[in-house]
Amino acid sequence: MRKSFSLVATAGAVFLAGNLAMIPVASAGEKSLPTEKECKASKPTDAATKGWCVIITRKQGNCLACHDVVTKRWPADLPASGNVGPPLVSMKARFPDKAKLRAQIWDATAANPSSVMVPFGRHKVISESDIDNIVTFLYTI
Amino acid sequence: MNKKVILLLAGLGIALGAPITASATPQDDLKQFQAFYKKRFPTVPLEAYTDGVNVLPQYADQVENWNLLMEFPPYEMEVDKAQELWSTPFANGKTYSSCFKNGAKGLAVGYPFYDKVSKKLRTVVTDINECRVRNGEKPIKNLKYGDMARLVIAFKMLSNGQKMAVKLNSPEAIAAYEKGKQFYWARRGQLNFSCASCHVQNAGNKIRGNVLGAGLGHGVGFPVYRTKWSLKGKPLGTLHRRYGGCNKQVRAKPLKPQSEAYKNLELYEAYMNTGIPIRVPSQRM
Ligand code: HEC
Ligand code: HEC
Repeated sequence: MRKSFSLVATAGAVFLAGNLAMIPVASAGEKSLPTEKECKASKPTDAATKGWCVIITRKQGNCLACHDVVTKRWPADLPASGNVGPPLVSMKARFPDKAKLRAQIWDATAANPSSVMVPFGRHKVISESDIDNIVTFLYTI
Repeated sequence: MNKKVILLLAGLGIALGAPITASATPQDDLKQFQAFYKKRFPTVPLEAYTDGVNVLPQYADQVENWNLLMEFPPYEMEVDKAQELWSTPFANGKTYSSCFKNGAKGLAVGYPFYDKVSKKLRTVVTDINECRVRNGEKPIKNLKYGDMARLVIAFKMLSNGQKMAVKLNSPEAIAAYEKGKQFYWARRGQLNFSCASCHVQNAGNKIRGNVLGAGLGHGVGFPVYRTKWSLKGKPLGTLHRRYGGCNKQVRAKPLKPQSEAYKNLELYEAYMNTGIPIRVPSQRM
């Protein structure tokens, strides 16, 4: 685990550098994702957008506290994200096993006891269906 | 980088979250704690940790606001009030100075300490209240801000520039230290963080926009004048006010200021600060 963790961290650093070099912009026809405020106002119904909203809402996932999310559909006015965890990027390629991705969110300390990532499922910080929606969203980036 | 941190922490004899106390002495802990930061922030000298997060290279692009404030520190008025309180006699004509050896000059570097006579771990806060009671005054109830914070400022200013030198010279002192250490490294709250998760493992990293400061130096600048607190009209804060805030952030129940657990924690942090000069009050954002 430790070995794969350090590999992940290195990959993260590379992606972060790339992300800083060229700020991704939504191309024509792609709608940018809602901001926290818009999430509250519009109550999205599709799973992926619901998942995104949980990710950015401070009182829910608050994932941006620790992670950058690398997506071209990044809304213009989100607050800065933290760098305690690696940037979330190419999730489907990096987690071909959906269950593993879900497990990382449900309880990151199972795979890595020294992880500081919040055990969102185990400590019931967010609901099981919110975790499913987050996984659905992460598979789109 | 992260791998290195994990290895170093293993070296500290501690798996994050659960100290494997093995048989590390406080002296070993101290050496390893300070060496950890020396490796992580090689350009930051030990004495500089007095200024908290402001001295970290990762904070360099944000430090300008603090530098500007320091030209005319907003805490000046509070310092005047603190000194006035300190020198105002009690109803019996005596002053705070009368309670302490040398009028309290240079004493702050040795706090907290275990006192064999009263069988208590004593902090500056408990001793100021005890001084009041001994002189027929009521103890101050608010131990987070206001007059108690001011009095601690006056007390600790008499040691400004002097280096922390807490002594652990009794089994009881060491037992309290071990409990404080346990508290520091144990995860808590719904969000499952220990103090070390943020201030050791992630010192220098950003959580949202906030750079996490080093655990080294915690307390030598306290009480602080904090811009964020000044917006609510209570700009000063004691160390235990800050502990409560850091507990709340992880959705853990904050403990009472001067509770046994927070006093033990203060002892652990103060011992880790051995050799770092006191600088009170401090300005924080
Ligand atoms: C307090 C910090 C923190 C928060 C909040 C946080 N994470 Fe993490 N996350 C981490 C860290 C640190 C890692 C690195 C691996 C580890 O320690 O488990 C990580 C790793 C991950 C990974 C694996 C990344 C990879 O490429 O291997 C995923 C996926 C992830 N987090 C998703 C999330 C989601 C979704 C949320 C919000 C619901 C979230 N994280 C909130 C700190 C955090
Ligand atoms: C989720 C992250 C997090 C956790 C957990 C945490 N803190 Fe903090 N703490 C912060 C942040 C952010 C700051 C403000 C920046 C700084 O000074 O480090 C801070 C500041 C402080 C300060 C003020 C330092 C100064 O000189 O102004 C002290 C003291 C402190 N924390 C002690 C603790 C203790 C003790 C614990 C455990 C009981 C703890 N913290 C847990 C995030 C955390």
